[in-house]
Amino acid sequence: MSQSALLLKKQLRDLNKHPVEGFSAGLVDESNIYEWQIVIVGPPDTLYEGGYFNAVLSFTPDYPNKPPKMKFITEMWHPNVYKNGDVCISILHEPGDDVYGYEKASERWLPVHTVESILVSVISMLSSPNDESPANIDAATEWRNQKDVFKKKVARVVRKSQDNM
Amino acid sequence: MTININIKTSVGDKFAVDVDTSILVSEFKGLLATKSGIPAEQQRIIYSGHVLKDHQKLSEYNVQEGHTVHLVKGAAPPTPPPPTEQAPNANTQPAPMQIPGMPSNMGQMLQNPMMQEILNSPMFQNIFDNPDTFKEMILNNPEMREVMNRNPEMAQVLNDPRALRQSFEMMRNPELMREMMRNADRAMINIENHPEGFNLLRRMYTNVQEPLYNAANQAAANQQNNNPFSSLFNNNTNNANSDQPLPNPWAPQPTPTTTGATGTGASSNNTTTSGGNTTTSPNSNASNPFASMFGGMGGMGGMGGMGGMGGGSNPFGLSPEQMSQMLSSPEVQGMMQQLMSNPQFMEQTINSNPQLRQMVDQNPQMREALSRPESLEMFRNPQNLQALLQLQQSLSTLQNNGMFGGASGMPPAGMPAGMENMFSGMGGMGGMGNFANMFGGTGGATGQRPGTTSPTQAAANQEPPEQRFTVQLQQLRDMGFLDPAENIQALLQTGGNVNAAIERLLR
Repeated sequence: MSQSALLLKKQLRDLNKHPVEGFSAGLVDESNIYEWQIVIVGPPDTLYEGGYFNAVLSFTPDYPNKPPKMKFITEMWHPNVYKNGDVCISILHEPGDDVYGYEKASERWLPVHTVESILVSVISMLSSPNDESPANIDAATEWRNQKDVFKKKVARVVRKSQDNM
Repeated sequence: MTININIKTSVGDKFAVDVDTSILVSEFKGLLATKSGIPAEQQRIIYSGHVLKDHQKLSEYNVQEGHTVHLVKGAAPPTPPPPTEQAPNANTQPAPMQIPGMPSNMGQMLQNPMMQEILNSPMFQNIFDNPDTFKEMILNNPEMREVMNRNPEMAQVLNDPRALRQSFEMMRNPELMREMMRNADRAMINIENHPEGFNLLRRMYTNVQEPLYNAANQAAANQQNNNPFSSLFNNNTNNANSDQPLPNPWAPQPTPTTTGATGTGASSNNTTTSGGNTTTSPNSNASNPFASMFGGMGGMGGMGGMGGMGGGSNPFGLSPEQMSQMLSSPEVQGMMQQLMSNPQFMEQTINSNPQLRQMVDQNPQMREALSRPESLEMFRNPQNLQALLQLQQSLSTLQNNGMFGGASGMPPAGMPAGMENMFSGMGGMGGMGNFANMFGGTGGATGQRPGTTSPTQAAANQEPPEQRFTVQLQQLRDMGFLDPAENIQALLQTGGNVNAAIERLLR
């Protein structure tokens, strides 16, 4: 078995036995260790509180040398999440060429990252959006200038995420 | 299979429970409610990247020994809007009651809390878990069997545990039911718009619905006679009895074949009940395929009522007069007769109810009594039953007044042990009374309930909206909708439904 599969198997086992606050992770399909099904619990005391957001984390056999991709399946409204659900945070960006032009190498993908450390970053992203590198420009503008509108839209995705359960 | 799993709550508590993975998530939540202090309806259980859904079994999520699940306290479910306020919504929800072949009172019946209670009772859970029981119920009715023989598709539906479970689920969950009915309505319209569609519908009606209706009606008709066998010799009178069909504009005059729903099991009996209760509108129930199914359900629910044993409290609030009336009706008697004459059924009922089983195990005489035809015969006599009910009634009065100190399991001081035995036996049979109630519940649901609840609602409506919607307003405020006037407006327009109000506010 490849190194990536072994590493991911171990993480899955650990997370099943000792899950981490704020999210839950399993496999989309028991036969594929590279596709992970994630539920993120909207962090308390944030606008996302009360929501249950589904996401998929897709690894490649190059893990841990290459980062996985993360995509929200549940509708999401956040400056750092594309409208199609793709999550855009620096630690999921490959270290090589800096296409974004402003991220330090240390903020980008490192082979030490695990499912847990990635999700901890995503959860912290939910509570404090980074509007310097917006993926959803509309959300970022609202976040900066029209907090009320932003809040309403987030309240809506939270409500929708509850309905989907 | 019982496994030990860890629960981790959002406030940081951790504890372990032993749990049988074959139970439903909703049951698991009930279990956790006592341990965690979080009400079941507010629990969100998350495991392996999934928020666990109430109607699925733990095993379907492949929860394993030693694993840990998250238990998160979610928001309380929104308070359902008062029914009188729903009127403005009627237009937006394409009237679910107008599905062809559905009795108009079905929706009401399903919304009735009693019905919900029945459907959620342990006995019912049991049936849900065991599609065979249900299948058997249906197959026991010869008419029904015939319908299935002629329509393999129907048989397939009944043989597919998933489809069965889905329909059970549907019955238990009013939301789902509404959704399904809306879909069915839409589908019907689509079919009718199709050139050949109308003919297809007509064919379906004659091929499936008509025989099903006959099956249901036949059973009901046969039960009119107290002696189930008399129908064998009395075909003509029966046909005379069944002359109240819902007029089918297409079908030829129905000529029911009296194959005698005599030997028969639960399915046919119970049909009777559904027919019997809706004495004011016998047609509406008997005429649709669901009626027989539903009647069946009602009957099983009744058995669940046996679980309501002991205590003597009357969970459905029917007066003794109503009860005895119920008991003296030939339909109920016929049904009970059939139930009693099927020892397996009794046995099954006993085994599926832990309390009852315990009682029986502790009192071997009781088991004997239950399996002896003569003693069962006793219960068939309406007068005996009535007497029992009266006894139960007075017992509950005594109990309410504190004479027995409430706990029925505790032998009352100074009461001979034999007496206590007798009482627990009585409690069991008292269950019978409850089960009669249950039918009162379902039948009564059709007419009485709205009448009894409306005065309180009318009173509630006179309160200013700020008071009436305190909870909902708070919810909206918490979600960041800060304009009280706008919120009240939205709540008024949506009849207090927070979800709908939010949709409106965001528009």
